[in-house]
Amino acid sequence: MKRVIPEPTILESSRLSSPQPSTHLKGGMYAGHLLKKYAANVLLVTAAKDLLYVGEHIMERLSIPQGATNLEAITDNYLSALLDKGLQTVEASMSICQFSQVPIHQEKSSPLADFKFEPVSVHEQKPNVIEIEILVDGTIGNESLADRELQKLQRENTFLDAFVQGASHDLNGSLVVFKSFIDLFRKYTSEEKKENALQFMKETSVRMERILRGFSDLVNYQKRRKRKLDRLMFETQMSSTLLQLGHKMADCDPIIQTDFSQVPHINYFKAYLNSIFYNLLSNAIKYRREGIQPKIELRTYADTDYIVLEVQDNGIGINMKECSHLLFEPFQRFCPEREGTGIGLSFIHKIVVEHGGYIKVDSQLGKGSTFSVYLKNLEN
Amino acid sequence: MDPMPGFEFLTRANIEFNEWPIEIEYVNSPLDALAYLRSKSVDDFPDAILSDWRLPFFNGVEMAYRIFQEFGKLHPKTLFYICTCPNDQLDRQQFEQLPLVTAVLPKPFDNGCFGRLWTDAKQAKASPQHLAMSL
Repeated sequence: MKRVIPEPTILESSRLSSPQPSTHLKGGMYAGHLLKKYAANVLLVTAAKDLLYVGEHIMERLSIPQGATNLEAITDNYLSALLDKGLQTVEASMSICQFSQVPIHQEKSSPLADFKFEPVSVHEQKPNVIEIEILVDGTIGNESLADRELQKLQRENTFLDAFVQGASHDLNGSLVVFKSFIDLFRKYTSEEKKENALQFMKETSVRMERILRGFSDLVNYQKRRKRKLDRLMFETQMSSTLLQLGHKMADCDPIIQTDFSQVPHINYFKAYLNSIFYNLLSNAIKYRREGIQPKIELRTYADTDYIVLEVQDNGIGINMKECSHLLFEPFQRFCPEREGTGIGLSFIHKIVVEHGGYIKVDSQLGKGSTFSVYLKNLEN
Repeated sequence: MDPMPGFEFLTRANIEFNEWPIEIEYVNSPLDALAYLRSKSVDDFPDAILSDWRLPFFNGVEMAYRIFQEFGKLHPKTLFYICTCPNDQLDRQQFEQLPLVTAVLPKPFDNGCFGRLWTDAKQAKASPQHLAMSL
């Protein structure tokens, strides 16, 4: 009988590098912290998906005897599911350092103590080393509830830190630009140049307003976490979002195709599902290709414990190699020439993850993107 | 390199208004910046690169690191500045410790910034070891 292995969750991840092949690892202080804290739950995996180390708890859960020489057992669904979730960061690290195929240099799992760890600062990292991803599986082990709560709070703090840092940078920058345009406006004598400066002041103030709106959305979200669940129809939610987006759609006339027949309902929070629809649809419209009529396909289906809302577009696509690891970071904008603050996607990612789900993105530059939102059917 | 809308106009307007004797190329994405630098010959390579500390795709540190790795040996005299607004929450020391970062400059660019840039560029030309030491 096939073993049922619980769905892994990437709790945290960081990068290490190692001269090939070796047990001498180099990485930032955070990587060292992860190795020390989660040793029993750690898998060391190269980008070529070769295993370098399997933690004790993972060995236990998968019934792999200590000292086993054959690690094939772990490479079935469990590893592929784990890697699928960690893959984005693996790909991201590929863009920084050179990679090469690494043979499994150990025939059996060795204790983490066998690996020597050396913290290095960013600028000391050298090319021509193998980058190794640390993936910490949060579903295995004996962590107490308090530990999990602490980790949840740490993740929350990380998000808030990133949000505040991004907002502060963008507001500071906008303010500097705005003040400088006032100075220029005073100095200019040409009416045309004055008009240009005024136009930029107006655009900058709109941008600041958007950032502040992002702040109030976040504050409202934090305040209203405990709200009532609704039984929602995807079709109705989408129609109401399309009404909200009316003005944005008017000038590009998108083709919108839907198929919610497989899973027409979900138990979720109305405002949150509305945010998810709004952000994904407005992004599909905003990042359309010039001269091509936007085509957006939406469908729902069931996948194990999740209800998946899939939104596919034929837009400009995303450079996944360079930005997959930053896709859900607040205030990250990969297409600065198009309007936006970089808040929307990070915000809906936060909502989805905090309610037990996750978001998968497939995209090709110049062809389009597919956002698959894995939603938990929530219970009161 | 600066993704902030309006910043290019502002920088060009300052150069024109103050009649600073420099030419600039402006990009708002680090990937465009790398593509631009790759297209430049040795003689045509910029004397100085100014980058916002926070960019799309990767931050200023990583940008500096990539430029250093790819172009540092061929263009050791090129200066690299990280630009920041007052009150930005950045770890200034983190940037200033990087061997390839010439200095952290405040935005928007004024006569003081320009003076610094001009002096550094002249020194770098007179002394090719300026950045080569850190390679």
